[in-house]
Amino acid sequence: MIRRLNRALFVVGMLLAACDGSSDEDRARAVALFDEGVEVAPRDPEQAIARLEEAIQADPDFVEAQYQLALLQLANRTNVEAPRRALLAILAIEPKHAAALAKLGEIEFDQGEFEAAEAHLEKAVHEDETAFFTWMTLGKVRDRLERTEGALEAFRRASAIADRPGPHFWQGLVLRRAGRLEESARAFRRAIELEPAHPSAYHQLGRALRELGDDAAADRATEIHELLQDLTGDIRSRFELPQLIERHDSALRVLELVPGAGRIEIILGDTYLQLAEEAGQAAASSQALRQAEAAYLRAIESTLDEIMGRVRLRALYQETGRVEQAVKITEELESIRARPSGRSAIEGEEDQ
Amino acid sequence: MARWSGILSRALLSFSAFGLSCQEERADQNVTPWFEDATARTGIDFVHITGGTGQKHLPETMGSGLALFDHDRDGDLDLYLVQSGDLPGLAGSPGAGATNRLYRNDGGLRFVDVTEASGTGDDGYGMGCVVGDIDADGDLDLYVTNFGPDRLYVNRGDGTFEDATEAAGISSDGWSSSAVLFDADRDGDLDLYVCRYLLYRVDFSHACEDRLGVRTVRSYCHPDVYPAAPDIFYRNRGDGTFEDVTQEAGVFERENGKGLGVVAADIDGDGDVDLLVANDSKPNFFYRNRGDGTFEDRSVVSGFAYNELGEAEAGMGIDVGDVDGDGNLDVFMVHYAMETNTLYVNRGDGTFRDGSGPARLGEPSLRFLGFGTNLVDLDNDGDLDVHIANGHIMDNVELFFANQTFAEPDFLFENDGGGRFANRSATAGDAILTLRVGRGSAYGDLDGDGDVDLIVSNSGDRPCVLVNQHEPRLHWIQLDLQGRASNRDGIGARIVLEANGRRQTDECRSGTSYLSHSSLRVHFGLGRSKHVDRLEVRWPSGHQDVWTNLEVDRVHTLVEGRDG
Repeated sequence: MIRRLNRALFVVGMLLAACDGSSDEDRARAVALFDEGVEVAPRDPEQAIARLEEAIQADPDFVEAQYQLALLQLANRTNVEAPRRALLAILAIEPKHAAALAKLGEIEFDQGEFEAAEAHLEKAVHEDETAFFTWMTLGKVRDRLERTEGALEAFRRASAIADRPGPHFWQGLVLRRAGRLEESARAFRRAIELEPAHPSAYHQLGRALRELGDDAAADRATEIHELLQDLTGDIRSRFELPQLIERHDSALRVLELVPGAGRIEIILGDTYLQLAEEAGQAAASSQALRQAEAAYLRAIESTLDEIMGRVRLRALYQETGRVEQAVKITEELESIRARPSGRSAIEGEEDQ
Repeated sequence: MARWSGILSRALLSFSAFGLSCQEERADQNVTPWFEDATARTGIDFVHITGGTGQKHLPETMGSGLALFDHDRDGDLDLYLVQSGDLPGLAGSPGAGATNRLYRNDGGLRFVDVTEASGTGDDGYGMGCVVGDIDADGDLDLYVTNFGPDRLYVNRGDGTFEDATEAAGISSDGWSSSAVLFDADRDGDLDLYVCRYLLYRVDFSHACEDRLGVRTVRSYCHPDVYPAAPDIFYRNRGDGTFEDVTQEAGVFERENGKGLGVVAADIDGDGDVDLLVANDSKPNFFYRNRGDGTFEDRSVVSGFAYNELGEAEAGMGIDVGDVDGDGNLDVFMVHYAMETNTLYVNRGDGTFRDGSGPARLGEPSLRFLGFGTNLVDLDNDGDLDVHIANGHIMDNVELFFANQTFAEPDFLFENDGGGRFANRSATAGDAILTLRVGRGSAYGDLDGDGDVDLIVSNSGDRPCVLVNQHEPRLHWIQLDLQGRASNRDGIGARIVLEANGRRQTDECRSGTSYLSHSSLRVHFGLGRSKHVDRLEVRWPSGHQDVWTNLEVDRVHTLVEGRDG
C-alpha cells in the first residue's frame, strides 16, 4: 500500500517537475533505488540509507525519498544533523510538507530548541489539522516555553481528534504548573477515567490534591500510583516464583482499587502464564492458563487495551494449539484496525 | 532477559533520535575552545580496569570515582583515582594487584604518583571516595567505597595515611557506591552516609540474556533482578570512630534504595543538612533533617521520589545548587538512556517541581546515559552551569539501539542566569565532544588560574583532565572555610554572596556527582563585578559571620567567628 502511494506521489512529482534538471532516466533510476531502499529497510537499514541517498543523487527533488531517508537516519544514527538536512531539503522543495514540518519540529523539541520547534509544529498543524501526535508535541513544546494557554489549546485540539488519556494528562500538568489546581485535578481524573491504570495521572493527581489540602484523597492516589509504578515500571520479562507471587498479589490489589484496568489485567495474565511455566504439575499449569485467558478476556473489555489483550490472547491460543480461536482473534484485530475511528492514526503513538 | 525491552518500546514509539544540534553555534577555529584535554601532559598514567571477563557481572559496568583534595595542605588540589581491577570471587579476573592511585599536584598541571608513599593504594574492587577531616585534626581523611569492604584512610598530617577502618568501627561490606560526609547532628564533627547498591555476589549471580535477532547474547542484568542493599549511616562519636545509627536516625530502608549518588545540603533552609539520594530505578530519597541528626522521610510528599510523569528513574549522579538564583538549592540528577536528566526545582517550602523541560535540560539528554554531573560556574559569569559525563553500560549497545553508542560525548550546558540552559557541547571543544565511557566527575581549580577545571574518570580507560580556557576571563572569588565550633572545613556551611546587586547562594559540600568528591574550596564566578559587597557564612554550628568588600580574583580563608 505504502509503496503504491509512494509510486503515485512519484508520478505526480515527475509531472510537476517536468522542467527541472533531472532526466526521465534519472527519475526512473531514482524510483527504482527508492523501491529497493524501502524494501530492504526492515532487514538492513544501512543498505537502505545508501539506496535512498543514491536515489536522491539521481533525483534531488525526490521528496518521498528524502523523507524516508530522514526517518531511517533518525532511527539509525547518533547524530541528528543528517536527517535535519534531509527534512530541510524537503521543505526547500515543498514548504508546506506537513510530515516534514512535524518531524523537524520533533527533532527540535528533542534538542531543546523549543522556539524553532514551535514554529515548525505550528506550520505542520496548519497544513494538517488532524495530526494528533503533532498537536501533542506542540502542546509539550509550548509547555516547555511556559505558554500556558497555547499549550492547553494544543492539547484540546489533540483531544478533539482522539479522546485519549494523554492530552488530558498533559493539560493537567500545565494547569498544575500554572497553579490552577482544581482544573488540574479534573484533567487528571479525566485521564484516569480513560485509562484506569495511568500511573502518571495518579502521581500528579496525588500531588494536586495534596496542594489542595485533601490529604486523604491524595494518599489514595499516591498509593495507587506506587502500586502501578511497581507493576508497570518493572521491565523484566522473567521473574522467579516469589516475585511472580508478589506481582500476582499486587495486580489483584490494584484491580480491587481500580476495577477495569485493562493494562493490569494484561500484567495479571502475563503473570499467570509465567506461573503456568513454573508450575510443576499439569493440573496447576492448566489452571494458571485458564486464569491467564480470563484476565486477557477482561482486558479486552477495556477499550484502551482491547488490542493488546487480543494480541496476548491470540499468542496464548497459538501456544496451546487452539487454532480456530487464534484465527478468530486475528479476524477481530483486522476488524478493529479497519475501523474509521481515527484510531489507526494514533495507534501506537505515545501519549506521554 | 530483555532488560531493555521497556526502553526499546519507548524508543520505537517516540521514533526520534537525538544528538548535537546544528543550530548550536559552530566552533570558530580561531577561538580557544572552552575546555582542553590536558591529560597527556599531566603525568597521570592511571588506566581504569573493569575486571570484566565477558561474563557480564554488574560491578564491571560501574566504572569508578575520584576525589580532588589537598592531601598535603600545600594549597593545591591533588587527585585520588579509584581503581576497580580484580573482581572478588571471579577466577581469572584481569587487574590483580591494581590499586587506587594518589597523584600529588606539583603545579603547572604536573602530577606525581605518590600512592606508595602515602599508603592509600587500596587494592579492593573500588567504587568511589569522599573526603573530610573525620578526626578534626586539621587534615583531610579519605573514605573509599568498594564492592567488598570499604576502607578509611586517616591522614597523619604529613601527606601519609594509615588504614583506620577497623579502629574507626567501619564495617561496610557488600556493595557501597557514593558516600557523603556532613555534620548531621551539628555537634562539630563529620558523620558519614554510605549509599549501597545491590545484594550481589559474583559467585552466585544470575545469567541474563538479550535477544539479538534469532540468537541470544549474554547481557548485564537489570538491577531489578537483585535485592537492594540498604544504605548505612554512621554517626561520628567525636573521636574519629563511628557507630552505625541507620535505624535510629530514620534512614533505614530495606526494600527500596539501590543508591548510586548522594548529596547533603540544606534543602529547606532551616540551618541543618538534609540528605538526597539518587536511586537506580527506585524512588529517590529525600530525608529531611529534624535538626538533631534524625531524619523524616519526605521523598514522596516533597515530589523528589519521582519525575513529573511519576516515574522512578535510574538515578546515577546528583548535584545541588541554586540554578535559578532564588536562594533555594535545586537538585539535578542524571539518568539512564531514554530517561530525561531531571532538574528538581526547589520551591522553597521543602517541595520540588520537575523543571527539566523549561530548563532545557530534559529532552536533549534522552539518548545519553549520564553518570557524573557537576553544577558549577564554568564561565565565571555568576550562575551555575552543568557538566555531565556520559557513557553507556552496554558495550554492545549499538547492536540493540542503532542511534546509541557505548562511548558518548560529555555535555556542557550554559545557564542564562535565570535557570534556562543552552547546550554548548558542540562549541566547547574536542575535550567535551570526544566519545568516552564517562563515569565519575569532579571539579576544582587545578591550575590555580581562577576558573574551575574538570576531571572525568572513564570506565576501562584513562581519566580526562579538562582544563578550563573560557574566554572572556571574568572575575571570581574562592573561599577556604575554616570552622572552629563547626567541622574544620566548614562542610555544610551556607554562603550568600552579594556583588553588583546580585545574590548567589551555595554551600560547602563533600561528595556529589557519581562516586566522586570535588574540591572543598568554594568557588563563585563574579562576572564583571570588581567587588564582593557582602558575604555571609552561616556555619553548621549556627554561628553567622559577615565579610564586606572582599577583594576579587583571589582565594580567601574565612575563619568561623573572625568576620570583618
